[in-house]
Amino acid sequence: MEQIARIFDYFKRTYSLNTKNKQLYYPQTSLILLKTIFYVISGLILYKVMASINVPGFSYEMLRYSAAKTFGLGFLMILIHWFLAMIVEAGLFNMYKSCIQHGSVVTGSFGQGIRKYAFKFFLINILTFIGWGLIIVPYILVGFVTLFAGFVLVPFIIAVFTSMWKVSMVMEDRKIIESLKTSFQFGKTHFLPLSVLVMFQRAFSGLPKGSGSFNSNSGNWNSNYNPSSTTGDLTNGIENVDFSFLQWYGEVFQYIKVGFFILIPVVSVAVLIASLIKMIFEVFFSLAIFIMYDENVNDSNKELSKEVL
Amino acid sequence: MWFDSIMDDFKNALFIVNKHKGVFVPIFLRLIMHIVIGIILVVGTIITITSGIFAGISEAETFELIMRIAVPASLVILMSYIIYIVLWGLIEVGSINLFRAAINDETPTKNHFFIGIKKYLKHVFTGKLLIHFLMMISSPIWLLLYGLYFIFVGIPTGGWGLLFFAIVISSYFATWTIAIVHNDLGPIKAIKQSFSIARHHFKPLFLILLTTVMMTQYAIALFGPVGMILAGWFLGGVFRTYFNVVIYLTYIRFTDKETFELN
Repeated sequence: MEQIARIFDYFKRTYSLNTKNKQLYYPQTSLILLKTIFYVISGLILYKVMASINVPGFSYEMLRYSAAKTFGLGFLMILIHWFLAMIVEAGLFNMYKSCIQHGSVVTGSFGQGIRKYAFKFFLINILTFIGWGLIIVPYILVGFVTLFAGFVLVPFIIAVFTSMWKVSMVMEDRKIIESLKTSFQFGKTHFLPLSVLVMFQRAFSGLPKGSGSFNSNSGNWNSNYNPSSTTGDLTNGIENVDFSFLQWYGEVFQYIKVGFFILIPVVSVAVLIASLIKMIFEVFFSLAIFIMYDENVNDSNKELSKEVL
Repeated sequence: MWFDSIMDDFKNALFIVNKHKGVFVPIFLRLIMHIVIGIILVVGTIITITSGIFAGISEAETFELIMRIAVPASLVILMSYIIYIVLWGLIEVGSINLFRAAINDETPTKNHFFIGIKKYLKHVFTGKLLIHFLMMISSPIWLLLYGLYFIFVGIPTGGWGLLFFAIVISSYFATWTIAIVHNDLGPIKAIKQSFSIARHHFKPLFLILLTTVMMTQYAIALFGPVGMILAGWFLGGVFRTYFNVVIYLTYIRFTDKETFELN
């Protein structure tokens, strides 16, 4: 129980560091703004696709073509966001380290973090992806066998054991496999308090639902569309057009248009505000995890040096 | 600093509930309460339907038909409501008295529970009725305001605004039952006290209630949908009890004269 109670001491230190170092929020805020811009672009592109259906001479082949281009562009946006999120994460983690070690964010720590850890984080993300690929079948089986409990519990337990992976790498400049081992070891020795802390983190920041965080799963964006694709080739394939559908669509489109004009700004603002709120919790609990690592590793180092003496 | 004090309350509450696990017993009583209410509603519905059939509902005129359905249905709802308030009050005051015993480092027993009921049930029952009555008569206003709030704040904040709104309202009603048990206040004075505390210490109360909601929801969902049905009541109950002890400790700190002056 003592160990779990210590979580609240970590929170005290986290709060104090958080209030003194507002710079911790800058990187993610930029990422969130970028994400919001992506949402606006996605909305506008989708609107253009809808509008193109209403143009005389529209064909389903054209729609297929635009859909393929849209999908490509959407994938590109997701990739850009994923890449930037990883870079931001690397820089931010170094800012946390600097915060813990010096009491404040040292100038240049963000850039230094990117140079030192971005590639390693990239490899970790790839490894995590491969790892999930390997366990996906047993994971689904366990999920069904445990009456769906496994679907939530397995990722939670994996999160507990891997939560210190990147933390250990950044805090002690370890290598990838070495830091994974440290993370597992840490998870084993501090299973209960770490589980509670991870629970706090997940309860507040939740599983990714469109935040601008490095955890965010960007795959839920609207399909996107390249606007240039609608301007050419409009006269092809007129024979394929279902005119009754187009007539109906022409009437409905007026409402779709109004809907889009309302939805695009509303959804963008909702994404922006919700992401900013979630960011506050994410920064707080990520820093708390760093502090937990720092305090426990320091404690064990102290014990080790006592034993040596 | 207010945040450090709250964290100390979280820590102390953890030690208290770990030492005195008797504070968790009312979780099972709450389950029984929900089962009882469920049974009453189901039985009431069955009785309403069967009595309607026997009374020849199929041949009745529109007004007669409405009356034959509305009257027994209203009676069932009213009875369920009164039973709910009484049972809720019983468990609430009993629980708070158990928390009080645990905070005073006494082992919580059924005596604490029943003494709490005997002494404070009347006040809590009256207070709850009063709150519900005020909510009911002001419902057109707050429903309209809530509708506007939903459109202009709830949607643009991706739902966070609605959660924060619910927590802000709950902050003002968070400590009135504790005030009744801890300070032996009447219902109106207790509600006033609760409002006053929320006004003076809004940030800490908001933080505790936000944590309560987020953590309880997560704990309930941790074992999947089946786990939620089978064990959600227990997991949720454990978390709620713990956070109620936190609120109690915070209340004591806030109403402690010396600390109050220091703040």
